Amino acid sequence: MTSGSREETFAAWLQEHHAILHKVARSFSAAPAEQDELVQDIRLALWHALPAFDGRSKPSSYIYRIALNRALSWKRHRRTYRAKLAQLENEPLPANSPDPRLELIYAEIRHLDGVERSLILLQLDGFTYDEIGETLGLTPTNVGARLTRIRQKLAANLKDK
Amino acid sequence: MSLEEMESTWGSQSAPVSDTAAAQAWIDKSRRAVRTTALFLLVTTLIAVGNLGLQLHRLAVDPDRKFANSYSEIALAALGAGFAIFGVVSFRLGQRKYRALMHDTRRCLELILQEKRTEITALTAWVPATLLGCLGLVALGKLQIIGSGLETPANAWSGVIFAAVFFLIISTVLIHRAIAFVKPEARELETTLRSLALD
Repeated sequence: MTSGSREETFAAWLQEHHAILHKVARSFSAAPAEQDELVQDIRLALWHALPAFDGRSKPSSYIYRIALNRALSWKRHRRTYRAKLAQLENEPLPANSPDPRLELIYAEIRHLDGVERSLILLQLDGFTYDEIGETLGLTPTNVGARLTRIRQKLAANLKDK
Repeated sequence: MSLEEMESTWGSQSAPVSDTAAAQAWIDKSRRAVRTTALFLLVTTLIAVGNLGLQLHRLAVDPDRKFANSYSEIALAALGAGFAIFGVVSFRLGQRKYRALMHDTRRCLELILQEKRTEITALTAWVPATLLGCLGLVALGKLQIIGSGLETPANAWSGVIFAAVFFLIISTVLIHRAIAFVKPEARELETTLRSLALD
């Protein structure tokens, strides 16, 4: 991949799929400043990963892979700060929140562990079990079984909200 | 809220506006910073290793130079070269993390965990062992100085103790980093990997 075409592809991918970066960042952190930092980190990782893209999977699937891998390894550096954030997450939502229902969904996703978050994010964005399995290194059967459990957990948590 | 409502709310969310130009500018800035760091490390390593080679060469060819009167230069040069190589290895590990991200999550976490374990071994074993080697050089040089009568044993050993305290402080800082930061990260990675391995 030449330098020019790499830049063009990178710009095109960001233009088309930047929502993925924000969804992942928002699912892994509640603080806007941390979300921005994670989005920047994912962009940088994506830039480095771009030449290795062989076209066998969809760009969105590849972007999700990079973003989730970065998010899963990124959060480890902010343990103390995250402990404080966990306290803040339990506080009521601000009255001027743009979409309280969406905030609630993200808050519930953040209560899941890293692997569960990755699974539900991919499923909510319409990826098949095969694609999810390929992204995370799981078998499609395993993906199906795990997603059933996660959906049951989410349904129970969201029931009265 | 039902799961169907959750899915419809999820599908209707609007993404924030993407500023591609700003993102590209930030990427360019990061790349420049990486290139500058790489260049700095390369030059530093060349100078440090060259200096160590020069010291050893002088010791080998100059009949006036004995280990006793050149050990401090050799120890300092070895220390400099050691730190430069440590910097290069750390930099390479930092760059390799991007390669790990291209694999599936399970493989990616395995690779990152492997690097964390290497880092722990380097911080707790290899660097202290290198420092111990440098301390051995200092002690050996001082023994020769005592033998040749150029310095009193009390003076010579105080120099060795000073060097030992210096190396001990560096080792303590590195071991603290391994225990307080790198090991918890590795444990967290192991937990995520175990969670992936569950059927």
